[in-house]
Amino acid sequence: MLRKLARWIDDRLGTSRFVEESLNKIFPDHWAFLLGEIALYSFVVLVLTGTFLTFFFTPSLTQHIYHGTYAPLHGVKVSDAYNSVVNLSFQVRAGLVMRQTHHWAALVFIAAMVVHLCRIYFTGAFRRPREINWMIGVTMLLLGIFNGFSGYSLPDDLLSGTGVRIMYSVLLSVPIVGTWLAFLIFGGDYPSTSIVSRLFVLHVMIVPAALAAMIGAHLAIIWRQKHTQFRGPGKREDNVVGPRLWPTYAFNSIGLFFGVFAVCTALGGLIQINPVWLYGPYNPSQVTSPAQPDWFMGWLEGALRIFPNFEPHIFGWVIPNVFFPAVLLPGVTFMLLYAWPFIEAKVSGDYGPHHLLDDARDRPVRTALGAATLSFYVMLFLAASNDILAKSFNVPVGNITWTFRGLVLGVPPLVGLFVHRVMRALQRDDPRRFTELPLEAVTEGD
Amino acid sequence: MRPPSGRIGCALTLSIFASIGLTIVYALGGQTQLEGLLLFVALGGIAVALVGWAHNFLPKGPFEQSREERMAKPVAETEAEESFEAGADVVGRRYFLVRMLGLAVAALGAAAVFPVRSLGTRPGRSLSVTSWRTGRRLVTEDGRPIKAADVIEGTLLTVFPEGHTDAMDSQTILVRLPQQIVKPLPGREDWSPDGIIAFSKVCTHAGCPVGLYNEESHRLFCPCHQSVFDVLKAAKPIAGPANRALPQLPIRVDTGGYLVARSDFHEPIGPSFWSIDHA
Amino acid sequence: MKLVLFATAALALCASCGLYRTGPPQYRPGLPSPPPNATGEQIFQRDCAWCHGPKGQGTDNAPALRGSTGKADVDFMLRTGRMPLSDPHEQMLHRPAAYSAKQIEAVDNYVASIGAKGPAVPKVRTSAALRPKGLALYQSNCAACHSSTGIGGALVPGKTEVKGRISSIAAPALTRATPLEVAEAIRTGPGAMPSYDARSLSNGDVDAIASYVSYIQHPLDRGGASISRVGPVAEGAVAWGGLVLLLFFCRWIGTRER
Repeated sequence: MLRKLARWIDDRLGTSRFVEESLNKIFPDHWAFLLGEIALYSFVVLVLTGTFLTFFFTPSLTQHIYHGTYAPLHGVKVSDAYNSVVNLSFQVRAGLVMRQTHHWAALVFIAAMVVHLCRIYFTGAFRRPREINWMIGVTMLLLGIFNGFSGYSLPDDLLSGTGVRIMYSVLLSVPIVGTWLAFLIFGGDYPSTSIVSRLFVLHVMIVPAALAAMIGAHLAIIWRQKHTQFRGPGKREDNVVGPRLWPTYAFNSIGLFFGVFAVCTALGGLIQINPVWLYGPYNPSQVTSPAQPDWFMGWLEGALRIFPNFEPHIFGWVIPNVFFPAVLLPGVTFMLLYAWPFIEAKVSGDYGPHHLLDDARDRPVRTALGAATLSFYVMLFLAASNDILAKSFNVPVGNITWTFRGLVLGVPPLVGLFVHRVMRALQRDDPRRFTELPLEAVTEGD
Repeated sequence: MRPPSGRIGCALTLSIFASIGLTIVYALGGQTQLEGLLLFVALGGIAVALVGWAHNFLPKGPFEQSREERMAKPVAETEAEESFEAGADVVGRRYFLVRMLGLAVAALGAAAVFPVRSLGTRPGRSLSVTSWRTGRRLVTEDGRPIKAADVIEGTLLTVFPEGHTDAMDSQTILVRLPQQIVKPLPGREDWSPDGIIAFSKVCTHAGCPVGLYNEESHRLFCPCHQSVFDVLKAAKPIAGPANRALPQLPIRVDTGGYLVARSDFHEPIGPSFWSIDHA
Repeated sequence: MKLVLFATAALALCASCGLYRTGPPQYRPGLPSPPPNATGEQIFQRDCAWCHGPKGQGTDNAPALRGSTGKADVDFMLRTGRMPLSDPHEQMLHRPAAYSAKQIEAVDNYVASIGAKGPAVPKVRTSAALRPKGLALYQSNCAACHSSTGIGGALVPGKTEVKGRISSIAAPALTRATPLEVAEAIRTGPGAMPSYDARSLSNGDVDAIASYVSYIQHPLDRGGASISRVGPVAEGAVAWGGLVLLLFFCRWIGTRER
């Protein structure tokens, strides 16, 4: 039957040669090559659960009185959006597990992209001929973060509403065009009644479609260029060694899909995320503390918190404080990410194609730079919890802010120097595993 | 130890039972934790089975394939270039029309940008004015006017202009300070009758409501980015990222003993923007 | 070898954080509980007078217990163990009460008799029907400091009337607050907290807030484990945990060999 269908299609499209080639296609086998797939499959989980959610969500900020089954909200004025999310959680069967799985999958999606990006970076997989795929990947990270933020904003609860308010201020802070930018995106002065419906269109249609297209391109390019592989016996620049797509790799990969889905649903059913009925509906004159964004916005939130109160006036014009941490910092971050393959090629003078991956120890400078940069963002990320740290450790929040101002500047160079030393020692002593490196080798230096 | 096929079968059986369980839980009305757990088993069973299957029964190779060099194919490249140039030459002969076509597309593109303007209202002066007007009474969120005598020392009220309790740029914080510690700025001597003083509740950093008030030290605290404003120093920022003081609302007591605004804020409230000094 | 070193360093870091995490110190180890039949005056003179003065007139170490201070203040402070302190510079934190309910009442009455004319101990009535009203009031007046889930939050510390003592570093969690304590806190504004009299929050409003606070101590966690209701920070940590789980799964799928 299946064979008959395949023949029928082949008869019309002539696909059999491509299919045959594809089924025999070889994929290098290493667990670290599956990180991007975690991201891919959490995206699939997001689309599946998200589609379910769209059938119940009302993207509108029209206010009315709540009459659902959650008693503590009876008679409270809420927006359509908030109302529909609470109803989805309490009145739609399996609605809450879907909603929570969706939110968890989003957090896992971006985390997986970050880990995948690190793997690509530290093994040098971004080098020629893979610069295009690197840039597509960076764009997907950007879109993923945007969609995470827009999704977090849709329920119009007290926590997310505060995030939207900050986004308005960030738009407002852009020099020269900021005011118009904020007014055009929000439809007018804050608070706007159209922002949720606008974010909704972006969140469920434009951005997912763009992501899907980019995933397609990302995979097509991998398909055409073939995957990189680690150095090893029998592995050369001009070959690929590993199992075939059919059946081995397909079974493993589909197995991973089910694994990702399983972990997301387990989180979605067992661990509560974003209980908007407890946060309450958004009201611009109310606020809750601690007020934090989802983790992937944490580095920006941390930067906003620890950036000094610098607000330059230049010939009668003002560059608002939030511009530096919330516009300039991400701008520079992503510019550097996009440009990295070209910067490294320029600096190292290595413009040649590479299909064999680097061992991190063989590129001590790149590895040290990467580790230092990563530690910078981790410090910013931790700084976003300064209020929670203050409360947990009973230390005034100002002291923690100042500590992080120091750590953000001090930790990256130290981490960089330390990692550089370790990499050099690894190169010299060449132990089989990192953990077998004698301590003296690091402390002694060169 | 069971043979691998037994273990794979086991995982699939678990998955099947979990799926059956799911339908039962759903039919009985649903329970989030059970649904999550059963989904985990149903999906995880298949995951484990597939991977176990691949590990135990499928050819691992390693197989080898050559990687054709994609980068340098001078023949194909020149062929493509030639084909393109052959066509471009024919088109390029109509030099004037090519120019006109470019102009037409550019004009259409420029015209198509204009609808972007429909997305929002003109900013105008809306960032510089709020709903406070001379003589407008201060009311609570539910519209109750406030008598000066009702504001006790140590309390914190959020107030709005009467009739505009939904005007969020007008939200204002009202406190009463002990008379002896109020030191009004020059020009603001009559803005705080009986020590009752009002500041915009919108943070000048990123616009969050500055809702936390330490009544012992008379400091306002923003929960979003931890800016601190000293009420005793005209709400000057003393820590955190905020750079501008919270604007003060000039108020007085009317003949009925109610608090009313003397005027709107004298400066824009909320986060800074490019042209704030001209606003 | 290396791994062991890292593990030790990580452990040491965690341990030092743990040491730094200063829980409420024990209440005055030196003084025994007063005898059960001690009068309010005896307790006051023994445990309170050394800072507040023998007639409640106040000293450099503590404010006077006259004028706007009332039974509600004293009752709240003693009931939540925030008073008595063993050192005037110590932070007022929620501790087990030092006295029995009867002794607390006796001290309340004694302090009132020497001139504390402030609010009396309020009467609270909670009910589930009041929760929606309480939600709205709580969000407007309390959530900014105590969090909409009642877990408390960081606060700006500042100087207090007592030299050398800084006021609250954090607004406390409301997880243990009884309706009576909630009402007393609203009326008296202990520590850094603002106070609200009947003109800004009626007795009915206070009942509603207390009802809602009781609810959020054990709210409907329909979604599963509440992870302390800290919000996105804890959720981020859990999500990364989920990813680590998946990384282990990947390690099982793929080879580890180079």
